[in-house]
Amino acid sequence: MTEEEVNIIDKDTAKKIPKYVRPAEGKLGSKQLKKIKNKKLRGTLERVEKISKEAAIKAARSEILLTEDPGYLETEGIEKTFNITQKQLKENVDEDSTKKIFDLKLPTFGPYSLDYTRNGRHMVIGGRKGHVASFDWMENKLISEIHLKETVRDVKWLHNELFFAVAQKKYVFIYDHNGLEVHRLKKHIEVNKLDFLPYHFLLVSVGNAGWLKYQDTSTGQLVAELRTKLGSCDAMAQNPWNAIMHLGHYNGTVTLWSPNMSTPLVKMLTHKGPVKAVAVDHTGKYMATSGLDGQLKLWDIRTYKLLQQYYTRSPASSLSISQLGLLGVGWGPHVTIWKDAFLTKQQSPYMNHIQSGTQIQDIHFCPFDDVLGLGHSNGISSIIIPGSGEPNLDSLEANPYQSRKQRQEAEVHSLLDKIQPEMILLDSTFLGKVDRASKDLLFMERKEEEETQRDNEGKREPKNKARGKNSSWKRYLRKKQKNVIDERKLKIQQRIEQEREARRKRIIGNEEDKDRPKALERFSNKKRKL
Amino acid sequence: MGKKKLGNSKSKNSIKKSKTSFTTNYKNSGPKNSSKSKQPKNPNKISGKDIFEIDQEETKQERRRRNIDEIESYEYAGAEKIEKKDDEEIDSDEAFNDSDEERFEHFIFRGSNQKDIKKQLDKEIDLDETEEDDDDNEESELDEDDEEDQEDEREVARKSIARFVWLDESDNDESEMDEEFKALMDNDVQEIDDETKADKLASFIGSLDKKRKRTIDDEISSLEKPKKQLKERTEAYEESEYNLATRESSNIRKKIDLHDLIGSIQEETGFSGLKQKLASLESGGNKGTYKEPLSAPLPPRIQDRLNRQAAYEKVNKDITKWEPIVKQNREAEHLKFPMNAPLPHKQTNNVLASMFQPVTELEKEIDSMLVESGVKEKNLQQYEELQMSKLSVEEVEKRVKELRKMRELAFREEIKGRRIAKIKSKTYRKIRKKEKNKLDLKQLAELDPKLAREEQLRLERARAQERMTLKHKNTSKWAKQALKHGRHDLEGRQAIAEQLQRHEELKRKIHDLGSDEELDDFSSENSDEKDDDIDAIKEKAFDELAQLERKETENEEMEGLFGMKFMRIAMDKEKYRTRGMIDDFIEDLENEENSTKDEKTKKEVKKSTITHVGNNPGRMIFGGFEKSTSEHKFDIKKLSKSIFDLKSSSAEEPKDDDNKLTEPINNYSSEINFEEENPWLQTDSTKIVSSSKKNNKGIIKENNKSDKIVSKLKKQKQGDQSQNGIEIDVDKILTIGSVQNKSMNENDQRGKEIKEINSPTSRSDKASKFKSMEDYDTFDVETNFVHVKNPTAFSQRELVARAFANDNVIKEFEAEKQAIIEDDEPKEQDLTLPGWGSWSGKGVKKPKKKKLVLAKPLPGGIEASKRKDAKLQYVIINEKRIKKAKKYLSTNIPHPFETREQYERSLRTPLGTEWNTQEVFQKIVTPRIITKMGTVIDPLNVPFHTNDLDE
Repeated sequence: MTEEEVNIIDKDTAKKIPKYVRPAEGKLGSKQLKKIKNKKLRGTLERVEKISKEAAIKAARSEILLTEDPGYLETEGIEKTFNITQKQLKENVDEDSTKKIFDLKLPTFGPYSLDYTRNGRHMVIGGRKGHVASFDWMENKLISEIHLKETVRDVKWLHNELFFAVAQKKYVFIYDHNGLEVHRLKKHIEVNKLDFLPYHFLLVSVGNAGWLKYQDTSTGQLVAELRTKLGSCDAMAQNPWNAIMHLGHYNGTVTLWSPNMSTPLVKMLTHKGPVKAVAVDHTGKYMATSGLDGQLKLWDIRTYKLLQQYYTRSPASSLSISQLGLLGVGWGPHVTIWKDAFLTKQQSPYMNHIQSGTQIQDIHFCPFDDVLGLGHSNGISSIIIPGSGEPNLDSLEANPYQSRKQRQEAEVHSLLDKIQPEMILLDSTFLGKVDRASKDLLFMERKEEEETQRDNEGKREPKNKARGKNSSWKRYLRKKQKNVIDERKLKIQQRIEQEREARRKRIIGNEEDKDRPKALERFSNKKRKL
Repeated sequence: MGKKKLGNSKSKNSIKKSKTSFTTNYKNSGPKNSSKSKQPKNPNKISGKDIFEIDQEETKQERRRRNIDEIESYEYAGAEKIEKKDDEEIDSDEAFNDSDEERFEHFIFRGSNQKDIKKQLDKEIDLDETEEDDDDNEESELDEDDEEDQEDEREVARKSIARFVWLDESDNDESEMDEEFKALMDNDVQEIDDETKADKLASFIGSLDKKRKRTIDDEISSLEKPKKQLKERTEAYEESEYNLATRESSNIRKKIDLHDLIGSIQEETGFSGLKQKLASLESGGNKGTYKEPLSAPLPPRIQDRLNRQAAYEKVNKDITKWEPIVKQNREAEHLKFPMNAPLPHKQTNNVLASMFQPVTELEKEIDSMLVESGVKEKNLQQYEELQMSKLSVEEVEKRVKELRKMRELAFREEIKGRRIAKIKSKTYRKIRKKEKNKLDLKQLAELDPKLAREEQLRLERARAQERMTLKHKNTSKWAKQALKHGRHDLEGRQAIAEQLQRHEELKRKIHDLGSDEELDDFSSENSDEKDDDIDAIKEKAFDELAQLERKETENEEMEGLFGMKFMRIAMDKEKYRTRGMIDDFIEDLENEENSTKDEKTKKEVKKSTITHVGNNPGRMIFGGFEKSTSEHKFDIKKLSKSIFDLKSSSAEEPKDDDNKLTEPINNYSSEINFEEENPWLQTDSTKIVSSSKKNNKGIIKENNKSDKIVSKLKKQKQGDQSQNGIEIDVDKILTIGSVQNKSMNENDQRGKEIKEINSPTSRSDKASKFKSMEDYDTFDVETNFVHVKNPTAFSQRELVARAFANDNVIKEFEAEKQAIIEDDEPKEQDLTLPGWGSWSGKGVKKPKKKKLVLAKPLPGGIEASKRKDAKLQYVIINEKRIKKAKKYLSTNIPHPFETREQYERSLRTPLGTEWNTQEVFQKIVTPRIITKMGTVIDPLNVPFHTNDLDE
């Protein structure tokens, strides 16, 4: 495409372009460029500007490839969208979509929590009383089902549908798609909430003790253990834009965490009462919190300012924000869905749903589908929320229709593209930028570094060269159970004893030699002879 | 002196080389004359002296050349081989030695021009005196004046003066003299007018006669010149046993050469053969021309430098022609090698179509069908041609012309359009738009006058509206400027204030107008009544009253002087009195009305009791004036106090309730609005409530302890409220409802409301949890008016607030924030050493002021005012440095960039496919240099347009 063609932009694309222009500090128009004397630099900057402009235009133009439009419920006249029930919807939607509305009645194993995979294809559910099952909900195909016979507080898929983590009574366990226990994470104790950062391969947990722990599921390392010092925590959400974890605490604060910092990056007082649930928007701009003080508050987490606040009739127990920004609120047996809640004060909800006779435990919007999954005391149910899921999917990012081979490929690629946990910061675009710390500080840091390096150079820890400690016999003895005594063991013990005796004798000298009088003996005390 | 310089050795050499043809001619002719006929061609003019003189000069020159640099002269021998043969005859005149030279040194021989000679003579005399001094200078000046001299020589020659001046110094034999020998050497001689030229040539040739020369020479010398005493020479140098190799100081430059050895032979007659041979050997070739010795080579360093400079210039010239292409390549984003590779030939559609041959069966079939139907391209073309052929030539011409004209017009139009489209002036656009609209309207008027009139009206209305709404706002250019700059000058501010006031007034007028209209409508409904006028008057009266009331309320919130206590008391008194009057008046009016109509009065009363709340013209209070507005206020204040804790949790609200009592009220009122909008409550009214009733038991079971407490407390509260329920209902504060609420079924709601008023506790206990909400909701939708606040609606929230009242969350948070701020502040280093610089011992007074030695605070701290959360009351943002992320940051701005912004701008566009379209991605990641495998990469070609630089 020539430059002229780039310059010819129709109105529709012109409107879309600003969305794709990446923010930058300062201006760099032709006026500013003229001021730059260095020709080469000016050339580079011009090129850079040109490329970024072109990229934005091309991206805007490529929207033509997004063939699907999100549809919403629309009503005529006096009708209200929030009056439309799932039953009515089911009668009117196509047959394929009717399958998305279903209920699983599992009243025995208590309130359920659930999770969808990143592509929205698979679902894992965990009953409080130990029932865990994973299935392909689109095809109604059960993959695995296990009864753990102990408390299950949360379930979470890892990077794909092959593994999921379960927060059980004491530890967190990882199971594979067959329901086989793969790992027991002993460091995660009494966990209430689990989350997974897919680009960093980090499993995050927070529990009764108030410790936030990051475990790398690709290497198995425990990346960070952070003490919140705010007691038991039961509300956690990740910011998908920058992988910051948001925790809601009992004193009404919400804290933002990165594994690189032992103290919270941001701490904000959101509610007067304990925070019940936290949810962060897909774009990382907005946060919703609900507290026991009966309020639902919407925040802008770029400025940390309150956008809207609503009273809920009973404290909302679960929040979820869909890909297209619908806010789902679960309170009591109700679920209310709010459209454009972050932009304007809403007069009425977008949709309503009531799961009568239950208490909603957990709600999750299904990615890439207009479905909301509810985990409640009577099992789980799935309802249709038109316009909740992203209609255009990027199959390289998350593909609901991926084949086995594609999944394998994607797994390898995602591992290759894994981001280091050190890169988790509030500003995810910080990479490669100039350190803005003062020169003094930088100088001091460099000095300190040099000093520590110098100190370490001189010190060399002595190697533990304990010879003989790792002899094959000793290793054998060490390895074997101590209470089992067999012939070989006895033999070995005997020999070891003998050797030890011999060594002792060698050092002290022969006893017979000792008895022989020595030259100066006569001067010593006679008593000794006796 | 100057003339002397002209004839320096180098220039002559160079001239000689370039003009060999001339010199050879001369040489050939010269000796012939002398040897064979021994008679000059023009004997009349040639004197003996002349001949001699020239010869002498010649030999002298020869000798001098030898003396200075023999080697150099030999260097040129190769180049001048041809000349040697011709020169042989001249060589016979070598028999002229030093002694002769000495004798005749001052003789000057010239051609025919006598005057010139005289002049020359004078000069020579002068020169003789200065000669010795100048000698050294001459040498050094030789090189410098090369080029000038060449030119000068030519000039002199053009003046047609053939003079041969010979000067010498006999004493020291310094032969480093410059001669003038221009005319000979010069190519311009030919230009000299024929007569003089012929004369000179003749004289010159004559001068070459040697034998004559010698005799005449002797005579003259004996006649004119006194004999000079020569130094007696015994040896070439002074005799001394220590001075064998050195020479006499005066003869330092003199080498022993061939002349020294064979000089004696010259006199003898029998050695002509030998002499000739020697001469040829000695002269090194070109006889007859003056051959200056080559100057000494420059020192190699300087020579190299000169060479380099010359080379540099040459190369520079060569290289400049590469500049454009190199620049182009350097600036190119990508370079693809081999460059300028020919593109694969692309065939156009036409070519492909013409080449098409049906191959497959389908193609053949189609082809045959096309042929059958006669729509093949060829046929069509033929048909067209045939059609054209029917037309006459003129017609065809006309057609073509027409076509051309059309095309031309279209083209012009296009250009015009393009020019207009380029105009950026906003005013122009505006004018154009208006014109266009006018034109449209005109056209419309022609087509459909009715519609046009409507349109006109609509436009008028719009304009009027615009004027009403915008004119007095501060949107004009002037106003903006004034607002921007006139902040400090009093006049500007006053003007703006005036404008604002005007705007306010106008606005009020509009509102009033609106309300009047409403009333008019109202009255028109009841148009059957006759006393319209009276009604209107009454209406006005009520309005005025309302306005008074409003003013009062406004006054209440006054600050400053009016806010003082005694003023307030006075005002209260006043108010009380006026209110009494108002009440009386209203009563009177009402009584009057009651007597006339019953039905209407109710509405009227309602209208009459409208009072505006606060500054808000949209908010009004309905109801009797039995209770003063101030009482309302108190109620509100109480309530606000009770719910305060709850409210303060929102981030922007102040914490201190004592100092800012007024603010909570405002907040409260705003919150009322927000409550009214609270959609949670709206939706409940119809569906959820009913469903919740059904499931109430289950919910209660599930509820937390706190909820239980809440419900308990609420029950109590409700009991209390039910007692004063009626009273509260009377005092309801109403506002005009939102438009949305209109959609609700009004009658139903009204019915409900009545129920509610009559029996607030009639609802079942099960529903008690949501009761207050329902109350609230049902009142919401009362015709046009909605309850701003039913105090009972507060109860739940109040109680929730109470439930958390013990958690001193806010204070704790603030304390924590304060601690963190203090902790993060830059720490000052106290370097004071205890006891240092102070006296100790008995009777020493401690200084009152402690001297502090402070160092610069350690880096890393942050001042409270500079914190990111400085303006966010309930947010703590961590200002600590994340050391782990340090490795991903750049400590300096990388090289080509000058500022951080520039650098970071260059980073902002991501490179990956995840963020870019495929096309852009590929463009971004294309390497700068692409080479094609297996192809020969030719060196760079100079493009044609640089050829002009070649020369």
